[in-house]
Amino acid sequence: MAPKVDFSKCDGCKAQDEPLCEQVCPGNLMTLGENGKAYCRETSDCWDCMSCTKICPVGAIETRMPFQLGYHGAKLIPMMGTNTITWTCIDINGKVERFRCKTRTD
Amino acid sequence: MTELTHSTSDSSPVNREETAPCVQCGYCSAYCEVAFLAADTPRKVLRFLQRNDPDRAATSSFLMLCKQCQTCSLTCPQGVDVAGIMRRLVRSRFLHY
Amino acid sequence: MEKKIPKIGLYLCDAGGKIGAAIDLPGLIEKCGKTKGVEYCELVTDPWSEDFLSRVRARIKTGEIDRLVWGGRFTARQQDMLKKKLAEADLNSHLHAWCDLELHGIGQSTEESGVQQKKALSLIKMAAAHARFLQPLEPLAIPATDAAVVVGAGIAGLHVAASFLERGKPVHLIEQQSGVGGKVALLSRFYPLHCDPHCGLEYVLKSLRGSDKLTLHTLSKPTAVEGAAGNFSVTVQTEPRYVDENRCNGCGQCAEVCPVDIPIFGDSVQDEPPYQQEKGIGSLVIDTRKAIHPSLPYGFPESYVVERHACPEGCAKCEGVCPTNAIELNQVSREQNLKAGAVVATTGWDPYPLSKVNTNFGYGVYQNVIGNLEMEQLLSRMSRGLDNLAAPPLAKLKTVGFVQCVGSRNNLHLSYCSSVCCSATIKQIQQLKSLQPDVTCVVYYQDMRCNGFEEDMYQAAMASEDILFVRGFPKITSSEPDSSQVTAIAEDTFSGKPIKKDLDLLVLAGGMQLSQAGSEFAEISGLPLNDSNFLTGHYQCYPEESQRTGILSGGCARGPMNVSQSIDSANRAALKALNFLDGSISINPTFPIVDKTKCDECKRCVEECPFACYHYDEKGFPEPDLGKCRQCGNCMGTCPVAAISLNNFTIKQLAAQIGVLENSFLDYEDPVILAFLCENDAYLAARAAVDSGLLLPLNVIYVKVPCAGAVNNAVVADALALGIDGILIAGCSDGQCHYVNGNRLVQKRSGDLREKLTTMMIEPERVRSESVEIQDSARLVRILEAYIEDLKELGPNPFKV
Repeated sequence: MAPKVDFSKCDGCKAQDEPLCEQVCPGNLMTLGENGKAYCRETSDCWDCMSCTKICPVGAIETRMPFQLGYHGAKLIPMMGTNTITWTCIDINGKVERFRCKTRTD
Repeated sequence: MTELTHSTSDSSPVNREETAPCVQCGYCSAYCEVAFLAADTPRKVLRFLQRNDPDRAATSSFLMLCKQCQTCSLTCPQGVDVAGIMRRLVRSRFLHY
Repeated sequence: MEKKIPKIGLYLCDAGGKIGAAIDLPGLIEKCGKTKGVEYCELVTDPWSEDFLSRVRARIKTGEIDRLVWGGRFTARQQDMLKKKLAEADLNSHLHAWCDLELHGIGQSTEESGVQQKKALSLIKMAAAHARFLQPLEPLAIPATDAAVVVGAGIAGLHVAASFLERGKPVHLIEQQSGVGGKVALLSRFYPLHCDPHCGLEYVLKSLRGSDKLTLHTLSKPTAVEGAAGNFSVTVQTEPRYVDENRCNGCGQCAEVCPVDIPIFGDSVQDEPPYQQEKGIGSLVIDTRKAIHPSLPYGFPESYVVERHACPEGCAKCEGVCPTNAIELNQVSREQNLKAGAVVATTGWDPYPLSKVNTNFGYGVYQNVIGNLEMEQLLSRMSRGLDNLAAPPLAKLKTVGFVQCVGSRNNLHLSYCSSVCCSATIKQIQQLKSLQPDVTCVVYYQDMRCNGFEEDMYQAAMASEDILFVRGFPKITSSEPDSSQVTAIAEDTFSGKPIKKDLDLLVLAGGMQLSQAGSEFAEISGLPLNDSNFLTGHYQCYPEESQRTGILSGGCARGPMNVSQSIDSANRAALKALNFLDGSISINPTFPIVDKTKCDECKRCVEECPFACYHYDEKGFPEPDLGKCRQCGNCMGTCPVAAISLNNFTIKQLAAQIGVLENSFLDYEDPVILAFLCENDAYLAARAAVDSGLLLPLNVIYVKVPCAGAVNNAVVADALALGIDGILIAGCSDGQCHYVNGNRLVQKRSGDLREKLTTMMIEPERVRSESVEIQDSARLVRILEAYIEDLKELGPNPFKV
């Protein structure tokens, strides 16, 4: 399932030629629309790596969970720390689970 | 020239707040064609309103002379709609009777 | 490079014995000894004794310790002293970390000592974590140009140039007219002393004449300002003079043969008529000049200039008679590049176009309605015994009217007060009365604003019987357009009675606005104008500075000023500019560094830097221009990948500091708050709270940041993920941020984070941003206490263990 961009939050990375999500997307799927907001141009090609969701500086991108993992309403939200990612997993019943993982960016 | 944005069909009562920006500079009186023909001048009418004396403002002899030429509204440096206030005062006067 | 393991020397200073009374210090020392990186720790009672300092120095020299953490309270002066004393042992002054235990309530709070003990340990650990990543730093010295560029050679610009020349600095003085003097050269008299402005100009020109360090670029204007403080590159476009300045001896033979007469308008002697037409003023012709004439408005440089557009085709009479062959009618305009350490904009003012004013009192319709600059010219001619060329005949003046605030203090035009016109009008009346004692003057005014010493002039004018002050504005009528008199009817707003006067001359006191050249300069140098469209820095704290370090503004480019205020302002600007003209610029080494292995080239830092100091290196990575950078850290806060860090205040250090907070010093239910305080306002407010005996809650840990905008969301996320219950980011009030808008940027970012927290099913109240002013100590305590209560209601952070 493709990432969904909240246009009211997205500032197109200040409408530069290449927004952050476009740079990090491994499939080169994200791009800037004519309104200066980012969107996914081939939703069927997205394999839910969530790179764009993690990098978005204004938190405008949300990844919908594919049905194999959780039905509509389930959410997986990353929050990037300096060298950790905090994951919040919400299933369709509203049950919340949280994980903290170290990243080795340093 | 500034365009008048005030509606001419407005007949709401005059609010004292509208006259708050008035600094009593006298532009309206000077540019008024009829200001000195009566005992009061448009500036004075605004002053009555500022002093919270709407009755005296509404019964001012000046109101009968006002031709609604809008010059006062256009010259007012503070942007007070003087002519509009005069018009609504006249209306309120006749609503009494 | 070989990686060195940091060796921290930890010194706990308990000067008053307060901390020792509240907690078990020997126990704390023992535990601190086990902290990562700490090699040695000691309890100190007198850190100023030479005995103690020599022991520390010995330890540093033997290599036992290579950086220091100081626990306890140290004022900025004491910190500086310790840094200096230990620099004798070759300890870099950036290798100190300070842990203000007193600020955090240790030894102040009445709470049980167990909590204080644990908190003190956490704080020491945080300081040690900070110290582990400290780097020895030395100030950077950037070679700089010692020349200055001054834009505008009015009275302010001349004073700036004179100040630089006195200090021996080379000056490029750029003037768009053919001569210096600006508006002051058009005036008839200064007030309140009634001296001739030409005398004042001569006074300042004395130090300019013959100086080999001064380069005067007349008929020039800057077209680009590149670079940063110390190394500006200013592109200047110079129009041809058609006369060689060096060879012209000013004999004037050329003007005698010149066949052209150009009218001189009363309010302006601009060389370029299109410019004048654009302004729409200058109706009064007071004199004529030849197409070749001395420099205007004031005869310096002492060379003639040709107004080529007025020359008849093929005429070269002047060329023929010139005894020194100075006239070169084939000159062309040229562009040059000037190097400068600092740029001072003294671009001055323009009169507000009177024809634009809706109540223009017949200006441009009746020939005897003039502006006050034109009046200055008339007075100047009268005092020289000359009459006006056109009407009105000056000798027959009987009644003269003056209208104040024409265009100023008017919501439709200039909302501000032009501040000089009231006194200028009284000065003109006084001069007029001294020339023609039987003149009656009428002043139409709203309020007479004669500040300071000018009040005496006003009182003297009030006492005169021939000067009538009417509070109210007139309407001007006339029987026919070219009549010698106009009729003014005004309401005296004190009595409500109409006052009718027949006036021989009506003078309108027009407003002052930033000159055309000033707004052009602001545009080419990328400087914002303030609400009143003048150049500005911070109106109160650093008025002459601008958002670009090294570009300063003085005189009427900053706002309406009289001559003496303008000279004041110019000299202040010159004083500030001298800092950049030492031939080298020293830069504090705590500047931002971009980690190019992490940077994603998203350009957000470039966009959000308040001082526009980022440029791209050859590979497209952003790079700060250190001369422009003010080290506020907004780039560090804004970087989405946390790749930018200020030296010795890095993201890594902040993360390490927060990392040691993993085990809370409080009970599970008791909320812990991490407060990022702006060091300009909020931190000082917290410090003042302690000094004034206010009790700061023990739940809070304070981190000093250079600007609230330096707090990165990743750091906040780290803290939340570690179970910190609440994050408070305290910056300045809106519009008061020393770094333009750091507080607004951080509010926007924490708003984004709050929305993210909501989707994560975490209460958004856990991240809060507040505005705290320096006087707000009591309010800060209230904010914190209320926040603790709110957090208690919310319950512990879900990530808390």
